[in-house]
Amino acid sequence: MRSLLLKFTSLFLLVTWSLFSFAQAKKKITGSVQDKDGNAIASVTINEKGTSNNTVSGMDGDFIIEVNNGATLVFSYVGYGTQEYKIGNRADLLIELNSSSGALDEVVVTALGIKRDKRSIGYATSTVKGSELQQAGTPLNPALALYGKAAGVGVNIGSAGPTGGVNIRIRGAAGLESFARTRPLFVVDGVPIYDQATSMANTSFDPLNSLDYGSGINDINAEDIESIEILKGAKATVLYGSQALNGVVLITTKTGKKTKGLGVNVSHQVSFEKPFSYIEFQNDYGSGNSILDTATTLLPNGQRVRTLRANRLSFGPKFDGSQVMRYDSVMVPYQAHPDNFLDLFRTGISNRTNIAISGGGAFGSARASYSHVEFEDIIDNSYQKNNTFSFNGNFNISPFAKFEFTTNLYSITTHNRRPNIEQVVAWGLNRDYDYNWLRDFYLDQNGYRKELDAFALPPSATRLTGVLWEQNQNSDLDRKFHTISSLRTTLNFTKEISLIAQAAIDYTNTDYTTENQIVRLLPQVTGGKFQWRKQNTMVQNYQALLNYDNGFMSDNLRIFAYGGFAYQQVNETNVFAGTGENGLRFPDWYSIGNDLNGTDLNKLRGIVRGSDLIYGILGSVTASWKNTIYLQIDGRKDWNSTLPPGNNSYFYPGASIVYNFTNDFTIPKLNYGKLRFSWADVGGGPNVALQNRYFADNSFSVEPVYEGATIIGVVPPNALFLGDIKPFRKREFEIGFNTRWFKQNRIEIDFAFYNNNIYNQIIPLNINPATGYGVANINSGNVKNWGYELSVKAAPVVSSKYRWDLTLTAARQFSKVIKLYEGINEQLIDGINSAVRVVGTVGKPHGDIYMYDFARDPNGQQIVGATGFYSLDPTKYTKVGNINPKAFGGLYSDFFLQGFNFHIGIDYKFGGSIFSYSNQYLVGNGVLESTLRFRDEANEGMAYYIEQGSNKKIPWQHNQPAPTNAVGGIVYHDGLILDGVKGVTTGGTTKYEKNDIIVAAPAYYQTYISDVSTGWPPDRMFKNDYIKLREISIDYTIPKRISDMLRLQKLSVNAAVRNLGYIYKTLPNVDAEAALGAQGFIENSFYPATRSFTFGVNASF
Amino acid sequence: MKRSTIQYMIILFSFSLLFGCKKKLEEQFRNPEVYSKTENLFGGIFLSMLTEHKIFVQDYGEFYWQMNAGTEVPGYAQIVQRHITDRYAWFLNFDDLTGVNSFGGLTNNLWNNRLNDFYTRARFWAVLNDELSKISGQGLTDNKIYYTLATVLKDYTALVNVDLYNSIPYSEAFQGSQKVFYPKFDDPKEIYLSVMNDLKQISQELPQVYGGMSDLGKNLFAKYDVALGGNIDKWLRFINALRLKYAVRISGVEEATAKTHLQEILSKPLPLQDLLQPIFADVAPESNGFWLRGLGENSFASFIPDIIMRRMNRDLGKYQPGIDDPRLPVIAMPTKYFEGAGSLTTNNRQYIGVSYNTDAQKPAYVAGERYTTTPNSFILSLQQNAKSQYHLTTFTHNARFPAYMMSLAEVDLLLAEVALKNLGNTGKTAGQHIKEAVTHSTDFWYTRNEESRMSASFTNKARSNNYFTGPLTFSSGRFGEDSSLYMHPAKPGSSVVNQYADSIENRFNTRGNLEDKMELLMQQKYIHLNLVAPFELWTELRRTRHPYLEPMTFTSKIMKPFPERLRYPLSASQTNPDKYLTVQPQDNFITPIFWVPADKRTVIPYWNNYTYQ
Repeated sequence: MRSLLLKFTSLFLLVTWSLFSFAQAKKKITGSVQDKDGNAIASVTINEKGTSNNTVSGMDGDFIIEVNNGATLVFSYVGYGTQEYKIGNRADLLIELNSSSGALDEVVVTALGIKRDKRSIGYATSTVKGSELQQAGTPLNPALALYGKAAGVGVNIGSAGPTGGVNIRIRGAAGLESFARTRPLFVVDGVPIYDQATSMANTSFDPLNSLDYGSGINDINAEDIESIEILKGAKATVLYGSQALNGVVLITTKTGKKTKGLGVNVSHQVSFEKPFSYIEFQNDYGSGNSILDTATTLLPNGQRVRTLRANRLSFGPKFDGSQVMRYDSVMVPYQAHPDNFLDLFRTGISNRTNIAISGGGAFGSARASYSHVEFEDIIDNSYQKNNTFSFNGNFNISPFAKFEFTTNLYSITTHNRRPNIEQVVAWGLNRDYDYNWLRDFYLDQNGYRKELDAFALPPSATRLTGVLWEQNQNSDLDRKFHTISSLRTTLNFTKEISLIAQAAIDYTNTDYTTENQIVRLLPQVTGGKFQWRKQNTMVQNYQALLNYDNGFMSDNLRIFAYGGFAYQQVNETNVFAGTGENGLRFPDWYSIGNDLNGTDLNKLRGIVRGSDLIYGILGSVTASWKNTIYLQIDGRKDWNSTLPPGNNSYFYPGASIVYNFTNDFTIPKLNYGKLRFSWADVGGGPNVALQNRYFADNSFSVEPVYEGATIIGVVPPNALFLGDIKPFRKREFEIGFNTRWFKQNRIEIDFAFYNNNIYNQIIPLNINPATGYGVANINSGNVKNWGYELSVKAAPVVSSKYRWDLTLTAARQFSKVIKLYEGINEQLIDGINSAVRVVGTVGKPHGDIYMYDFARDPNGQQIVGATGFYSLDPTKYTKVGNINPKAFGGLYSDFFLQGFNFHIGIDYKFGGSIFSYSNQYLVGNGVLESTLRFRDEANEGMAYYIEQGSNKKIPWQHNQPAPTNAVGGIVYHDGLILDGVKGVTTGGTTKYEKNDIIVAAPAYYQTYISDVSTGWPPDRMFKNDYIKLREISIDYTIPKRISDMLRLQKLSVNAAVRNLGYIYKTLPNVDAEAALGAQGFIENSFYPATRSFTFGVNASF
Repeated sequence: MKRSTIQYMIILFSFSLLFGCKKKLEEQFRNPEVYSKTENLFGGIFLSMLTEHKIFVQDYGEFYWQMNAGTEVPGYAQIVQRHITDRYAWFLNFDDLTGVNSFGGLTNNLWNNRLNDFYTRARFWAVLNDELSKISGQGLTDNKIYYTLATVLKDYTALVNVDLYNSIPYSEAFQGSQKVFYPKFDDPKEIYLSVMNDLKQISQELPQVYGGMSDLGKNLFAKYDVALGGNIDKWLRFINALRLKYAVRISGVEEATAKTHLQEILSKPLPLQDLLQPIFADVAPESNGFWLRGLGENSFASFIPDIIMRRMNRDLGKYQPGIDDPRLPVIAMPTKYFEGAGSLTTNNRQYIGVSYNTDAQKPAYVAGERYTTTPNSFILSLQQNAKSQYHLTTFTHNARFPAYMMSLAEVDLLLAEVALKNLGNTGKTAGQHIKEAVTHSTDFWYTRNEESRMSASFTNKARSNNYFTGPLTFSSGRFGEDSSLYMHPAKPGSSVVNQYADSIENRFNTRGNLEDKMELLMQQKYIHLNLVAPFELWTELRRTRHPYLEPMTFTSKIMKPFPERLRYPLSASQTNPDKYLTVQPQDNFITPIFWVPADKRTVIPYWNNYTYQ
């Protein structure tokens, strides 16, 4: 530590000396080098022609050189060839270098916006351009456009829709327990932003208020994004600190650099989100336990009429159109309402308008943009209004100093986010219920909630009225103000030495207001609630890097080095006040003062504060030889407040070697080739590993001994601490290559293989309660992850008039648990009660799923019990799958023809099992088409009668009347015999014979909601493979002559469809992406999928 | 400025910056919302342990599930039941003691959680031990008492769990901090013997432990000991009562050891009053109480089985002072049926229990017998219930119902067994102890009824809501009369109580053999402990094979299930698999607990029919 500090201070001194010894000039030229997109290019060699006088452009592309009058400057840079430029009388130059090898991204943005030649980067990166994000219409949430676009980056949107969180995992990041942090670090213009995993999993037994609020990344306006850079390996972590453990998503917003003079860009887009369902409903049978299950009621006039059955199950009589009485006493035909599920939803609409003004010149450039988005979700009363202001300015006030100021202001109001509707689904979707009818029925004439007990509504309807009331009468509004702002200064002390310093803030304030209407006024005022919560997160970042860049030995050897510090302070406050559960006194007044029984009004009900601090020093040296071989060595030391004092710092080194071998060898058709190798050993604390900053704090607490009691006891921590928590380590090496083939680089292949081990993972280890604790907070063993990533870009057809581009990405991943805590060989990662266990076992892949198998005979045949149904064998768990996907990626095709661009995107995922509650309950309730099988003669049902006395089901003929000993004289047609064997015990030994016990089909299907007695059946755990047609779009740029006539620089129109459907999927009846959020292996609250149709127009002046 | 000066200044600046940061860093390690300066550590932890659910305090959720379906401990032990008819199809498998389906099935909390809850709740004891080893001097002297008494609580709860599961991890339990992650399952008899020796030692040491404390220490102890108010004499008596209970418990399998302990215990002080832990939460009486909330929420399942009712109410009619049990009006609710004409001044309503002959109960149900499904209307209960519930004022709406530790009547019944079986010299006959038990128990239950604040609160609520318009017997203005008649009945005079107690003593004395006497003794235990201690009653039922239960007749099927124990929670096989294998053979519902005497193991204590005495 001491020696490192000395080194850095010496470097500081070097700067100071240089300042004093600033040389006097003959003629000084200043300038800046950039690519055609306006990105600054660093390390461009600038030579005064005919002399040995040269310089190199700095981090931001700027350079200063003293030359003779009338000199010509030669700019040379790998991938751009050389370009000459006559100076004439100018002293200030803006040089645009054209790529020598077609449209290739040669620059990678790294820490603090430092742009580096991609050829020097020793680890895998993927770049997604802003234009690609908007290709199929600008999504509400920029992460939605990332599907399959970058190799090894898995994206999953859950049931919460576009306003909810998106699960992003790089290289299959996974932890040894369920709330491990697996999300990458998001960095916007060099500012690491506050992020968290969110989900709409049922919390506090209140599904309708289990909302997914998304996180900071949701707010970024896709139209302001210039590019997204994804840094995958541990090596990248060295730059960004331990929070980058799972990779980095670097977002760079647009600047005005591209624009010459003043430019105005206006765009408008309208999108329609059309809900559709993958559920294959049956529409033949109505509600009831069996086809004989009819209900009648006696009218006051003495007449008996048939009524609609109020039942959870849909195994009732066949639809026949006859008149039945509905709950409200209206006679309706007994028929299916095939669309009743989709009737619950509407078409969502979003309108998005963006105006951006930008301009650039020698002095600098600036871009200001404003976006207004109005989004209406597919469920009533759910909307988001979004105003974004962005400003990005850079000012070259002198050759010495440059300032950049970036600010993004987001003001986002969201009303009634999607509630978790799992209960509605689990309790019905009966085919004969007309949910549209309920939309008004649940309210009384005064707009209060009708007392529905007397109407004996079916279970799904009573749950649905809860949803309708929540969405229509209650208001949950979250108003978010979010700003990401940074101020950056670049000081060029000499042509070799510069300093970049940045101060940045990510600040979010959200006010959550709940206004629940009074439910009833009579006979007494009931219900109603007002609650208010203020959540405030602030991340302050301060960083400074001192850079050194110089060439030696005729510039064959270049040294690029930097050193500096990073400081991050996170503060979070949550303040809560509300009327509690008492209810409100007066209608339509939402204030704590309106608490019905409140005696201690106007008091704060809760406050939660938290903060953490990480700071570190870092340094890096890159030596390159003839732009061919790059050797980089990095080091970083962090101090982290979430680790116990004494254990709270860790050092991590990294190194990489890059060999641009095509500089030395010529291989036919190969234009460019690079080999890369990198290694890093990084670390982190609990906040990084678990998103739990106080995990390592072993402190006793004081609590009331029970709810409402006035006496206070001392409670030791629930977790066992076995010594102080140490930092975890992740060691990763990576090897890869990048090659570009044929003329115009028509094929580019990038490949990476990585292997990492995570040591001392910080986890709550599940231990046997007899130890006194359910969990131990420890550092656990060693988990190994490895895999490879492939990205292929090809242009199979190219001519002057058209061009066809194809992009394929693929990733394959593996894992193995090498070691757990001493004396432990299995860690419970997650589970659903006792029925599903997700574990990490030593010697096996991470995330294996275990369930009880069906009871089986020695030959593996399923055993039926005395009742003829299967049962589970609760004596042992059987492996049924693994939660992690094996392979995933995407295939994108773009065809350009005379201003048209036809775009198709497909993405895919293989492996990764999912437990489907929906398939459990929808079968159990009898609403799926698959449950028609065996229900009647036409659907393969067996005939049988029930024998008097024995109550046994005896096989019979469909067309014969029942024998005299049949109970009720009835022949049934819904029999089946389950495949399998039954046990026959004679003399104490059990033999298994082929099953011949007839069961009724409805009873069999219902076993799926009675949970086969002890748990959930393993056949509801599905493989979740899919190939999805993600997007299709057509983009047309109006020919220049027409746009010129309109006095426009450019005019384009766009039509797109996103989320078209699956080409292949293994999960029946539900969207393969319908997981609950970050969890990923449980499917439950399914909303219908939505297909979005987008139309947009974009004009530049 | 010299270069070296600049250099030093920069170094100085950097270091001061770094140290400033370091302080901030360490400050932020602590959670600001957790009070971590626990000066009152020992007393506070003891207090938390004392009030932890499932030690003395009933767990609301568990209590709820215990009663809900009727197929858990109170159902099998016939302590409380629903008004069963064939609507409840699950009773068809009431006698299925194979697999995992008894006691509410795998998903139920009882046998899944009980054992684990013992460890995670009693671990405070281990924490106290760890913390105690870090202090010395007066601090140690003043705080040792908490560890000593926590040991009593831990031991007591351990034996409750032995009574439920037989072998459990004990000697290696609570040793997570020593990295013992897979504790072995101990021989249950060894656990009993170990606990009994522990308690003996504690009873000897306790006076010195307490005596050495400073006045301040004693003062604080009185504050933290919310159970017995820092009264060390009460604690000693409680410990002796526990020792008495456990000595009797093992007397059928370890008679010599039991006698040795008893000989000593009988010379020691036993409780002089009921030992109960008061409640410190103040909830509205009509909100279903606090610790007994589960009872109110399951009021439809709170009926008194005949096996108890017939002992209290001999003719199954109205309550007859002197002839019927004086506890009847405060333990049971009357039904809607009157014996003779309805009266506003005399309680002549009938008391009727539920029968396990559910087939016989069905016709009346079909003909219109109903019960109220809400605990919130005392009136509806009187209007609608055809069977007697446990008393609404005494139990369901008694927000002050204390946590049960030990009662005089329970001690009396234990002494009665000691005298009856000649296990030691109590100085009295078994019959005399039984008589005292009836008297003490009557005091106990009238006190419970009196402490309930139900009356005033309910009166106000009922009046404001016009609950009393309707049936004649509840015309407004007459409420007070009816209230005392049913809700807070006057305690019978001592002569009436005495008359009844004598009749029980006589009945006991005239019983011929030991088993007949044990039957009557256990009937009294059932009446006295009833819903307050379902696990203790089930334990005593399994040990003594008394009282005899009613067979369950359900849809013509006659069932006499007698589960002997609970199954282990899943965590045993999930997180302690190897050690679990050693007890897997007994992981069923039918292996008797070690304290069941050899000659009782084959006894299934059921009446043959419903015409028992």
